[in-house]
Amino acid sequence: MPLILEGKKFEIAKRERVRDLLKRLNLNPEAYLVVRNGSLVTEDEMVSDEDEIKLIRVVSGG
Amino acid sequence: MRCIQCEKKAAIALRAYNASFCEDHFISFFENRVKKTIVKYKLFEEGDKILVAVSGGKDSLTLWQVLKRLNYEADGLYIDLGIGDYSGISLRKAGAFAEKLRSRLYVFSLTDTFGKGIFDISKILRRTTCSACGAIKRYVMNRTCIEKGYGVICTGHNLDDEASSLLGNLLYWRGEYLWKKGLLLESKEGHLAKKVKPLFLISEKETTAYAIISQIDYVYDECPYSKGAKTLVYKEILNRLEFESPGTKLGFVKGYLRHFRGIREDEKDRLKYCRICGYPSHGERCLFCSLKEKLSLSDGFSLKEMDFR
Repeated sequence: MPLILEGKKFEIAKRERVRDLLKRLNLNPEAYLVVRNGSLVTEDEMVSDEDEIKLIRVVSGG
Repeated sequence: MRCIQCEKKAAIALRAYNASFCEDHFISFFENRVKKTIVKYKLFEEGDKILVAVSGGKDSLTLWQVLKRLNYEADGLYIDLGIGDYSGISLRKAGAFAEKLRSRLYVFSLTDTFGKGIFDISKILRRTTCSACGAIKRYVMNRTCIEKGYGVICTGHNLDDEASSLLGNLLYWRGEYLWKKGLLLESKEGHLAKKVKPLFLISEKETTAYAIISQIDYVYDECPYSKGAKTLVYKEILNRLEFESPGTKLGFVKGYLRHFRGIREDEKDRLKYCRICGYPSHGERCLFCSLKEKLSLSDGFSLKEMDFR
């Protein structure tokens, strides 16, 4: 399943660790949370192209 | 990774606390910390009537829910800034949340009051949109709190908001703001409401996680006028530091509270009051009344009320 982040589409590797996914997309784990199939997951968890993944930006305000 | 309290699979890891939690234990951890902040810094007491300023975003809605779960009497105030779809969606989310919490929501509409939204108003006031917005919001929060008989106004400012604002004030040595920052502004002489920030020591990552786990339906999109704001750059820099050295933001803000806040109390401006409405002002007339005069509108302050109690 493709990953959508702020209007842009990204491909997820067959199987990769959340930490590596964030690193590959150049996203700071302090600024993004990862939701896999509806549940929050920590950086050591694995995600795959069969999961529904959402990246949630936590930074807000101006 | 496992929850440090029950060994279930963790939903979130907080490196600043060297801890990881499952969903249930994270909610308890979060709510306990808000309660401790309220008690430790004497923000308010049980039985106080609390008004929560809600924008429809994750922080303010989370704060409102936590206060209700901690059994405080808390109602909401939404300020409709007249920013097209953004304000419409935000109001709908704030209203739906008030209904979910079975609370009361006051709504102040800039367009109903002045016939214009914040962008046009900022032009009339010759201020940036964010500066005009901040000034109007402070006025409306204060006046609503006093006129509706609330003891304290709570805002959803979090650790990242405070750390980034502190960094900005330090970089440019803005003394007039630097020494006044804090998590509590005491009420004064009947026309200035007490204002507090119960999420002051809780990061944005935590408030977002709380909102996701609690299935709070918040506005994800940013205010269109916040694009390019310097605060966002400061937040990014602070998050880079936090990634390298967990706990940096907490240490920065707590250190400020411990060492610096209040050292220049004597230099604070003496409070003045608007000669028309009687509320705090920098000059003879407050910004709100000046705007009414410029637009030839009669004096008056009205709120709509949505009561789901």
